[in-house]
Amino acid sequence: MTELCSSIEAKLSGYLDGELTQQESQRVHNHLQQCEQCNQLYRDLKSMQQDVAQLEKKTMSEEQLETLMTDKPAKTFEWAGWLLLIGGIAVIVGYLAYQFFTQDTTALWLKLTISAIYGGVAFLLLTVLRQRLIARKTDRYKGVDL
Amino acid sequence: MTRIRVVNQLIQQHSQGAYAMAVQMLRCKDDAQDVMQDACYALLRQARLPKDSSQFRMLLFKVVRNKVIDRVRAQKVRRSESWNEESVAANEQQNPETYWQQQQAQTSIKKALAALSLEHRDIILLKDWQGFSYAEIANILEIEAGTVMSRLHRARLALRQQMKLSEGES
Repeated sequence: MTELCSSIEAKLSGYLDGELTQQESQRVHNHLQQCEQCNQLYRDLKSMQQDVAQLEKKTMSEEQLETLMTDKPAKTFEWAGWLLLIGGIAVIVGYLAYQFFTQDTTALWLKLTISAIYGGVAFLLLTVLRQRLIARKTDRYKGVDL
Repeated sequence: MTRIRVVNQLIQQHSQGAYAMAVQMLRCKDDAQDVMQDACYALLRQARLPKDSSQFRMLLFKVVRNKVIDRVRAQKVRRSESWNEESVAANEQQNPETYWQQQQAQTSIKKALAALSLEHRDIILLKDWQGFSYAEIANILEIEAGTVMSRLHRARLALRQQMKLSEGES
């Protein structure tokens, strides 16, 4: 391999991809006409390039694509939804509890018992919620930042 | 709202290509799907996204590729052999002989690619499979534009070497 060959060889990929300047490209072109060895390499590279181009591309199903499209705006709305729901419930529960304690004529012991039952249910719900949140935090599929 | 529409359209347009790349790198369709999901989510949180189609494509590939690398590192990938086992019945109706030849070529090129380093495989796939320009590849891989040609050339020589080796074996 001559010195010229090795300098041309380094440019073969660029030539193949049309990324050389016109002048360089011309130089490579001329050399390829004369040098069988470089020409062989060029043909090999070219045929490999065609093989790679034809490699099968896996595609997502319509369904998967759909999830990709719909998932992110939905998350923002999900948050807004939860916020409104929790806010609304908190106001109503607060108001009802206030009414129940100040204006209802039921005996105090009964008031306390009923409150205990509701409180119990609420605490159980919170426990479940807490467990869910922890599970979510330690989820190994959680996204990694850019 | 229009922003979301534009981005959705761009995602729709380019995600199949990025997905194919992710499957190729991870060799697992489910992981690739997860990566795509992560990537799109991350993209949407960016304040500014290119509206230009090819710019967006470049960014999408960059993000997907980074996510793939994150995942590969996190899992220390068990590189399974699931890559070759897929059936390729899709275009069987062509002339059987050319079909068979194509399959042969595909199998040997796949094997040779699999034997390359990640660095070499990536750059060949970005160029010859996904059709990015040198400037775009430089951006995606975060390397100097001048490095692309030489790295790509070395990668191709390595691939050729692998092809020769496997030809010698068979």
